Amino acid sequence: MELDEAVRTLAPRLIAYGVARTRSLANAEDIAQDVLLALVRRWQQLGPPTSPDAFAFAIAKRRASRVLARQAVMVPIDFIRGLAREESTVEQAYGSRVGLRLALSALRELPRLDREALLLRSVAELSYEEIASVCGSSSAAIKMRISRARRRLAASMEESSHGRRTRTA
Amino acid sequence: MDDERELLEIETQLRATLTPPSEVIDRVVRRALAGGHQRPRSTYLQLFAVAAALALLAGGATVWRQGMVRRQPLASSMTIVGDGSMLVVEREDGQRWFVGPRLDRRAEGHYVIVLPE
Repeated sequence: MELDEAVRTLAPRLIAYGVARTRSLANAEDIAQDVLLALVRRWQQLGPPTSPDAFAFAIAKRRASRVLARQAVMVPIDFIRGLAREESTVEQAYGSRVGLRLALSALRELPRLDREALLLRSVAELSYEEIASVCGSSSAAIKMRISRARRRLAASMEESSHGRRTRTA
Repeated sequence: MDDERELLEIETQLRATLTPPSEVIDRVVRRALAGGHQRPRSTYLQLFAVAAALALLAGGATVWRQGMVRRQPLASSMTIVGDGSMLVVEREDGQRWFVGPRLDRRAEGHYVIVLPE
């Protein structure tokens, strides 16, 4: 696989993963940018990693955790100081979609480790082995987490959309 | 089987919902492929801080070295001329010392340094 191709296929998945983790497109873009720059430098200096996907999402997972920790501290401060980042129209339109909000709420209800495993499978499209290596767990445990998360997510989304239909009617 | 298909549909639906706008994807790809020439602003600030600290250190070191050089005594050359039992030592700036035997004890090897007044 060539570097250009790897960057192009990883970018949308990294942004989607970042949105699911941080619930912010701006933060997701920053995370994806950092990860891809790290990948490009690694590729240019030492050649391609064994699995570019696992390499990228291992970094993305750490960056997202760091952003969430920073958010917990900075959001109230930014709010008070009126420094909350203004988003462009495209980003506003993306963030205000009902489907996205429902999906993010449903994801939020999942246990943290189950949600992480599900996102790495569904959004990042990593193999069970790659997810196990990124999460520091076994493939069997990851399979179990993903299966459980899928069921819970399906139930939650079904419930949300049913509620929405009822409210609309 | 249907249950499994439904679960996979949920995943597909989730993936579709999270698909980011193409403008954002293009922007991220373009910047990444530019090879990291555009560093984040925080990196620039860090580089600037490090450069400023290095410049301050270099400036401090230069000033300190100049002070040390000024404090060091100048090395001067001397000429020693023998005239009988007297030696005349002359410094570059013209100052002279006469070195000769003591008048009361004329044993060999005894010399006094006569400092000019």
